[in-house]
Amino acid sequence: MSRISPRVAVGVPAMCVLVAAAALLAVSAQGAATTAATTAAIKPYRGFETKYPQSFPIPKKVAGKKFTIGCQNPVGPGNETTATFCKGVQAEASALGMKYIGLDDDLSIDKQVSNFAQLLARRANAIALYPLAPNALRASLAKAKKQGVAVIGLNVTFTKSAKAPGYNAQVWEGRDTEAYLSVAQMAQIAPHGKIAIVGIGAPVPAIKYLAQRYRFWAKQFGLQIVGEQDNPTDDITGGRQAMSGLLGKYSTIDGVLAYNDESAVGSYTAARSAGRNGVKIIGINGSSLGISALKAGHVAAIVQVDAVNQGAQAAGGAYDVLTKHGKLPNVVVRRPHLLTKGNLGSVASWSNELARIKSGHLSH
Amino acid sequence: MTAATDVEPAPPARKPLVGRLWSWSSGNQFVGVLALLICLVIAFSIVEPRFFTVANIRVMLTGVAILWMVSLGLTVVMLTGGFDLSLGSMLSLSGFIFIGFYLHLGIPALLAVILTVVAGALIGGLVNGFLIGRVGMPFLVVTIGTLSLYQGVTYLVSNGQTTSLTSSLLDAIGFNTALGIPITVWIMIATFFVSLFVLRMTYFGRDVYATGGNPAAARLAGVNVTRTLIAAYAIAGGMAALAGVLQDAFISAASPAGSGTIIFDATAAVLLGGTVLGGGIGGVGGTVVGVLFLGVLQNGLSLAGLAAAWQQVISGAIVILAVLGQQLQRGRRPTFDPGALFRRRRGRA
Repeated sequence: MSRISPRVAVGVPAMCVLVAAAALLAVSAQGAATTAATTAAIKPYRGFETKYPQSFPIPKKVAGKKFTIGCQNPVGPGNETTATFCKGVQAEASALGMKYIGLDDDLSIDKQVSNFAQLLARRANAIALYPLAPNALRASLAKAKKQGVAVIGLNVTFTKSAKAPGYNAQVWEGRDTEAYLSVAQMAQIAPHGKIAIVGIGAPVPAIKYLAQRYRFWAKQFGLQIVGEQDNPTDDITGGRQAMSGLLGKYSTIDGVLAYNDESAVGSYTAARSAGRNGVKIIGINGSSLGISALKAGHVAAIVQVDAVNQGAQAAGGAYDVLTKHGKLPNVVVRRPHLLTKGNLGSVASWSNELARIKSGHLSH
Repeated sequence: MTAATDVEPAPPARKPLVGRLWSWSSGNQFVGVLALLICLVIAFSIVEPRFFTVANIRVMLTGVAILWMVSLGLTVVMLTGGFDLSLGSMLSLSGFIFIGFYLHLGIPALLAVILTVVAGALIGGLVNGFLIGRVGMPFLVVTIGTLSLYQGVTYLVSNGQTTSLTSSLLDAIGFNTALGIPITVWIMIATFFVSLFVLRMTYFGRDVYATGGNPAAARLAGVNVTRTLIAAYAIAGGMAALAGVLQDAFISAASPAGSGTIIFDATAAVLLGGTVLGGGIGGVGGTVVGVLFLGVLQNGLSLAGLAAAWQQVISGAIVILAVLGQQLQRGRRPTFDPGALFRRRRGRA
């Protein structure tokens, strides 16, 4: 094989880069055509989650009491929503004069159990966590109870059963409300439309339940669920892959209900790549990824979870337990809200909520 | 008495077509996977009529663009006998490097893209490449470290938040077409041919194969192994950075929610393409076949409506069988030496 001089070896690739750059400049950009539809306000949710309170009793700060609370982020710093839950715990704890310890469970059940043990060893008085596998924590919870440690869970159960054995109380993010808001909004922007669901590939019961509730509410609102495809990797790439399957299978899809922001954004990229710009997409979570997609018109709406106050309520509830300030309800539901391009500026962002709590305004 | 006559040696008998094909396939480890890929395309086209449509092919090709870039970079590293686990983290970090150039420094988008790729190459070469090629640290240890390092830096610079951006150039890269073909696909084609050219037609490419085949022998033959390794990791870093820019283009934002698992898909694609873990054998031609194979498989299984768990089972099994088939084709028994991953390279510079 003949060899080429270094000058040519550098020159040819450089030329290729320049030609590619010139070609890119020559192509005119086609602006994204997706715009948020102007819609009337949807009726408030009246389902079973409304019978539960939204807040624990507002804690009364007790002078001279020094408590430590630990928060276990089930995923890690890469998941903004769960990280914000722990930031909420930290903000409320700080406002109540508690010390804070944050640990990441990295989606590992083993690590969640060992982090729990670590918090007990570090003499934490309270623990807030999102259990990855509730049964795996049974022994840990019993030990915590023995040591008098308050444990507040996030989404331990998510259906009509509010009792969570081993926990002092729990906070729900309102899965049924999320499904309701997503479907109600979809019914407004794609009335009687053909809708697809992007669910999760991993066996996460809460998300499987969400898909069931999507179907339930879709029936109520006259939407037709044509199919469901799982996001195998719980990220944007997986969302794109799921949507590619849906687009290939169904010639008409008016809307997509996605279980998180990543799936919603992945669905958008697949739809746009296929030239199906008219598909309305609604995601859940309301992280900066979802908000960014909403601002850009890539998604029609986002159901934003109240991540800050979920965490703040967990810290406040734990403080109530530790100071024996009244009996806690089994569950409080921090109901999510719908974000559209129209109301984006008027709804308090997570960072504003954090700032409010840090300034001493306890969550309520 | 017989006169001595000069008899020209007879030209070698031309092999029949089947024989020539067999010879070619014996030298190209990816041919089995290519055949499997063609079978998959035919099977999915029969089972699912919507598979072989322009729209679906477009979605499928643009869907593997990021994997394509990362896999090409990984191929160069694996040809030197190394590995780079940090490419997924580099991809996420590069998304924010672009944001830094474009949004914070106000550099025009095209220049910001070029600078991001250069920055990725510099980081890849000066961190991974230097520590592995010059200091002689084991590649697995170094790249596990940089995987965590780059991801941590990404979280720090992004504060864990997505940053949105508006750029007509990036929008064009992500979604426009030229001559009816997505620009993303043109970029994929360009990067493939440049990689092929560099590996097959330049002294550097020869050095990559020599280093992977036997670094001590390569050094004795005058190859600058250190420089070759640094350059290989720089190329991988640059390709990951280009993948990061593509990710930004697709979502009009830079997201710290990384692509930590992309390295597994990329490894599968490179191995499917016939590049071996020990280095010195393989090439980017096989890698693109591997990437397309994974893309077709995932797309076809999605279209078939299979549950994600079954898709994972089938994908995993097919990848193992395909790589096993290649090893049998080479006439080798499959072997695995975990210690090799941690040993220092022979004959360090």
